Amino acid sequence: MDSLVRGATFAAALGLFFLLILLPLVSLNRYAVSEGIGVFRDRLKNPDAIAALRLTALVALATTAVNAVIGTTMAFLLTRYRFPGRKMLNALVDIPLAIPTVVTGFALLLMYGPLGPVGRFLGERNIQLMFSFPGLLLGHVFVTFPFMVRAVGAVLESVPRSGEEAARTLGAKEWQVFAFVTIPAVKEGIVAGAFLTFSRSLGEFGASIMVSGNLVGRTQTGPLYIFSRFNTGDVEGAAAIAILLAFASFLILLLLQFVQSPATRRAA
Amino acid sequence: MKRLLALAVLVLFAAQPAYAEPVKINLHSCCVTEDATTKEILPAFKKYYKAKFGKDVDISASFAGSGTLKNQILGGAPVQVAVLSSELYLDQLKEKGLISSDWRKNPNRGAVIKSVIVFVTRKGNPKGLATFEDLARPGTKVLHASPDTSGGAQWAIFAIYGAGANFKNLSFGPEDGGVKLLAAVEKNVIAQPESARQTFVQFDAGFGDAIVTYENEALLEKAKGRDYAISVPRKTIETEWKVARIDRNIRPEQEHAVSELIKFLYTADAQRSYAKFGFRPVDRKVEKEFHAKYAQVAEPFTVDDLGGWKSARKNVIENTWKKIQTR
Repeated sequence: MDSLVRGATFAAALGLFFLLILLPLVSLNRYAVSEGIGVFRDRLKNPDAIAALRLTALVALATTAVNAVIGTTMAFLLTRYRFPGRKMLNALVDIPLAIPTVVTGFALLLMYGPLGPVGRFLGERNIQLMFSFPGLLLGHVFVTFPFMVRAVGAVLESVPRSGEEAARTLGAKEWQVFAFVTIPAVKEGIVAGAFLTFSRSLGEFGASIMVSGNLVGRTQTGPLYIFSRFNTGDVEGAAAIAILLAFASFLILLLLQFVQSPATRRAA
Repeated sequence: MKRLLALAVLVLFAAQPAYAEPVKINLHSCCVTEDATTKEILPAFKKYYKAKFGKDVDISASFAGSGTLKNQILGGAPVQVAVLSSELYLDQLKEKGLISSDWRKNPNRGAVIKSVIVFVTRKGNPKGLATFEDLARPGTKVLHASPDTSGGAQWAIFAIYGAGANFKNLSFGPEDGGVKLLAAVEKNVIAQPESARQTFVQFDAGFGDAIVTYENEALLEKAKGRDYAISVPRKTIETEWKVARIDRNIRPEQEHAVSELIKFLYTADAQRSYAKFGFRPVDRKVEKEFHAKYAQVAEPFTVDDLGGWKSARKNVIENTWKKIQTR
């Protein structure tokens, strides 16, 4: 009886996963090659598509690098120290997940635009962050911020402080403890956070369309390219790039499964 | 409690009307027509239909960029009537078999409202931008939507090209005055968001010196109390929105209401409603009533002067604008 229930649950979960998640991806695949694999390859060779994919990869890399530093620091702060407002800060970290990304984009426009104090300050010095690479980076760092903090934080919680304390007793300075003891111990958390951040950044749309300027061949990322191709009626072109991005994300997430140790997997 | 619930269920079922249900039709209309359509035209049509034919009609409308709407209809949205900003979209619907009738047989070859492309500048027009050539001046920051997603942006690009072109000799080559002007203006374009509405979001946030957009959008922003200035270039394009029936989605019982709705859009009442929201009516008499509201364009031209929609899209956008972007 028990095994029957287990089997049925298993089949139901698998069936639903197939129907809700996999089937839409499969149909995308079918559309991408519906005109033949030659058309698919042609679409990928389009210079605008290549520029968009290149920009997407660069932004994702830069975003991951930035969040690896500030996300890890934040995670360290939240797990290793007790200070007033810590719970509040801890809750605020996840805010980017809850805010519609278009709102994020608009908020950045207001802050860095000529009407915001920061934007005015920069404008007087002829620095224009929006509608360029830095603008995209700011948007993506915001949207993906929680991933690194949470991945590293989960590992930090499970790493005993005894190593750090031992280093201190042996005369290590605070920065040495952080750099040579803590960081190596949470290496896996950083890797996991990096993979999640990178793949989320690959698919970012809402904030990007507001802050990038959506300039073809210059500031248009992959997802924005897909959207504009779809709207001009070039569904094959849209599907070709979409498949590539989906496949890249899949590879990254699959790789993550292999690099994660049992400890981080438990924590995540 | 149980009895109460049962009663509620019973009431719900019994509430099914004994008389015929009102006919339901769906309208897809380009995003800039939203205010005029929902606030005035649809309520007026429902009243008119009831008074004239003694029947209720239920219309739900949905608004987005014309390209998005066209894709929704292609994807199977049960829409019976569409008002779109680009004839190309109607052509695509026809090619895919969704439209079988000829929308050009409606008055004005299907055009139900018009406008012109103008530009909106900051309060008092501090940079003195008056013509499309002015937008090409170094240091001017220009916004318009992406022509890949917005019908309005396609018109904006046609307007810029046409302002510099010689209609008797459209070569679309590097020596073409239109190509030169478009290239010079595009150098100053700082962002191309998804829709005409989004350009205003960026402009409101303080970006840009000018938005190239429809006159009706500009008038609407003024009506909302914004202190922006409107510049009407000496030479600019007349835009139009076309209405079409999506024949494949029309069931026999909807036939009457659909054709009446399309006829209604051309009545003086509906034209007046559009005019209130800044569109230029196609009805001559109504146009006279609202004449003072619109700026006079010295040298208006149409998409036909650019060789028609198909040629303009291919030569001006695909072959010229696209190349300028990645240069």
